[in-house]
Amino acid sequence: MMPRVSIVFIRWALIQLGIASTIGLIILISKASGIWIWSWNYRPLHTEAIWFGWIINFVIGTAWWIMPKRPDLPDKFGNEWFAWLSFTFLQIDWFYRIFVDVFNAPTVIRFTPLLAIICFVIGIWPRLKHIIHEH
Amino acid sequence: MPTVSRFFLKSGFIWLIISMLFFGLQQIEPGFRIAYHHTLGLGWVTQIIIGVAIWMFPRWSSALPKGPMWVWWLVYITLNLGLLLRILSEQFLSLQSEFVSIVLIISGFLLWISMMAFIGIMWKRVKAKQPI
Repeated sequence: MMPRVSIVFIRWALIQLGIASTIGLIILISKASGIWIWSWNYRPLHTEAIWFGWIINFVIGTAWWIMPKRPDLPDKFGNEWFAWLSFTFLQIDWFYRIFVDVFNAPTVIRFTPLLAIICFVIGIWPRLKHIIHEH
Repeated sequence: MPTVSRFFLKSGFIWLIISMLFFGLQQIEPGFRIAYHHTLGLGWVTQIIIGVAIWMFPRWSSALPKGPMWVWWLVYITLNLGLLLRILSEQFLSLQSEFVSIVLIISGFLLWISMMAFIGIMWKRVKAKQPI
């Protein structure tokens, strides 16, 4: 059974893929025809939506679902709060680019994906440790 | 593993080889950077994700566990054809030929259709419970 946090991660990844593909198509039409030059401003959004929005969200969501479970814990998926925190941190930079400044983000914002990955690793770690103890 | 998954995975490996070629070439000619990013991000990573997702994600329905296969083949063909046309046409864009521009736009639409079809079919398979 897929946990709710994985469903949110993966569906958000699919939405980001849709956004990234649409921006990419508009930029490509602009490149080929010379129209809609303004669309080039959104290239950082396109890149970030692919690498962070689509790929990393999808991989984390799937990993949280598919990695070994811990039946000995109250929640077999481990502490889900780490996954939710990871999801929140992972979206901050992208939303900053959408709503504040597409080109530049303060240094502290640029480190939020790092916090996202740290939260994910802390959350998933006990589930992998279990395998090491088993074998 | 379904046949279409094997096609996605094997094509992904071929695109990975091509992307590494572009990785090397971009050191000589920076114009290859876009080709490198797209062959890596779409040809390799996205294609591997799709291939594994078709195989492992919760069932679409009990009658059609993987979903309509023709849609997966549509995703496969449009993704690979679109990427191939994209990479080829991009290299000739400096010729300022109308034909090359049209091919580039067609490649963009093929890739877009591929991603939209994938999102549409995968959305239903991202769910908590398997159908009985």
